[in-house]
Amino acid sequence: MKTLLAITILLLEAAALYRHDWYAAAAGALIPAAGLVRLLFVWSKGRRTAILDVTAVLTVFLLVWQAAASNFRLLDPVLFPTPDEVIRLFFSELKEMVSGMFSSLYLLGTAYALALATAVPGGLLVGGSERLRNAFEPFSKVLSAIPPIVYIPYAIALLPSFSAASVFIIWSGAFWPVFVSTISGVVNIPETMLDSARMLHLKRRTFVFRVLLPGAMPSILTGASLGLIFSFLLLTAAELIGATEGLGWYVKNFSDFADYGKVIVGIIFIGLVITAITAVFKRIERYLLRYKEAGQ
Amino acid sequence: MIECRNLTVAFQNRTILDRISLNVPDGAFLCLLGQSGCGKSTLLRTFAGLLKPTSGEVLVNGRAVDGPEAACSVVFQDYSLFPWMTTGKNLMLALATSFPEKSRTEIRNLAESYLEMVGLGGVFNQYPAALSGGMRQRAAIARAIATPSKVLLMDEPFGALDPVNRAMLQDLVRELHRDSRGARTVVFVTHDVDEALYLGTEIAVLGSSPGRVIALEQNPVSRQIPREKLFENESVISLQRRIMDIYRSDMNEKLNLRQTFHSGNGI
Repeated sequence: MKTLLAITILLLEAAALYRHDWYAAAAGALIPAAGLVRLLFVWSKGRRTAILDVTAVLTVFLLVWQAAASNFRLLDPVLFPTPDEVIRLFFSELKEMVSGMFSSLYLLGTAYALALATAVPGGLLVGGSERLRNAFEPFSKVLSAIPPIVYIPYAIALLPSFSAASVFIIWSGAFWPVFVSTISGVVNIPETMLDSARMLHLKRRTFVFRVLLPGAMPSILTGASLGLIFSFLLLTAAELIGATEGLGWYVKNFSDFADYGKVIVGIIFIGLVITAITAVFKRIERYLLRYKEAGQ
Repeated sequence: MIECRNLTVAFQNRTILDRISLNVPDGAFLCLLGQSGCGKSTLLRTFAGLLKPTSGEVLVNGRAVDGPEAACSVVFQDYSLFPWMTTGKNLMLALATSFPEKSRTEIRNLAESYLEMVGLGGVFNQYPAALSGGMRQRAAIARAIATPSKVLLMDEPFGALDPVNRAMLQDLVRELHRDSRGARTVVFVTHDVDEALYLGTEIAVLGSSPGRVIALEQNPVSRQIPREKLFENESVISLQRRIMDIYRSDMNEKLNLRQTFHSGNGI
């Protein structure tokens, strides 16, 4: 119900701004804003009003932005396009941005999947043996400390295509956190639990998939979520430098043409895409670790 | 039958167990009694093959133990079950490994019947985190007896339980052992003298630093006596007194050692 109300207010606000109907826009922002002000004085309800409060902040922000950029001309019109323009651009540019998103996600997905497919088995193998662990530790310490951004120019020169180069860079960014956290996940499985497994005389395969992997899973997921954040960072960085399509390229391209409306739209879109991916990741994480919630 | 000959375990020049020789006959319920840190868990882990002795050897059913011993199953104080599997799946994993020829349905039914045997009828699909400590130990016991191994090793299994659950689980283990009619040998590690008197048909007292057997007592009568009458029986009382005396003198020895250390006379 509150969600519906929030969406309605936002849509009305957007429509009002779009149609340059300032009175309606002001009124639209005032309704939830009044609620927010009330909250500041009467501290109650907590989470239940959260979505309306978010709406209030957003509508007030839009209104102030509109007023400053358009009505009072406080902001440079080239650098700060008005919200109504941004809203219009968002919808007209959506098709191109979505195709850019697919190109970006293709790179991201390939590289991230590759990182998981190498780091998790590698980490399980290395984590399971003290000797391998000691042998690899100095390397993972030094190599994981190097910011992968420094590889970008070299990788572009070295590898045949831009996509190969960016897959390599994203992979190298996502690999280390997953690898290191898989190793520590294996090391931190309680010794009695491993002894329990040993006494069951499980087959090697069963031991790896039913004990070692799930035992290390909480730590793996921590590393994987860190790796995902690095992936976004490196993807957009790589695209800013050498791509001919994709979301990062989109922003860079229109910055070069000083078309800042499209730059802002691109940034907002990137934010939405990353938020959506992170939300999906959290869902998967919660599903995989659902056994922990059983005790609460 | 567990035979243990001149067993010595040392970590980094510190002797944990010193030349232990001990036989556990078939069908016996041996309680290993000792203060914390005396090496009783180490001895149990050596029986299980989880720990290689520095010297000496352990024979289970006449064969030398080398690596995790198939004839033994273990119940630990904690973490016996895998938390990421439901209780039923935990049992099924053990059963499927022990009986690879059985179908999945048979394994499932077996798992259910073992859970029922320990009084856990309705928890098949629950994760261990959703169970109480007592229920988790019941499930761990069910998993241990579900495998065909003849020796059950228990490492302070009820140490973390409240008194009511502890008593109920002691009854359960005593019943399971009685019902096996000598087919199952149990080695049970505890520091609780009364628990050892109630459960054990034999009681070995381990002295501390380094761990060695300082007393081996038979306790044949307590099995015929219900819990509430246990400490009314003459022979149980005298056994309790004897064990307490041994226990106390071992502890005094350790404390005296400390005193000389502190006063500097020993150096």
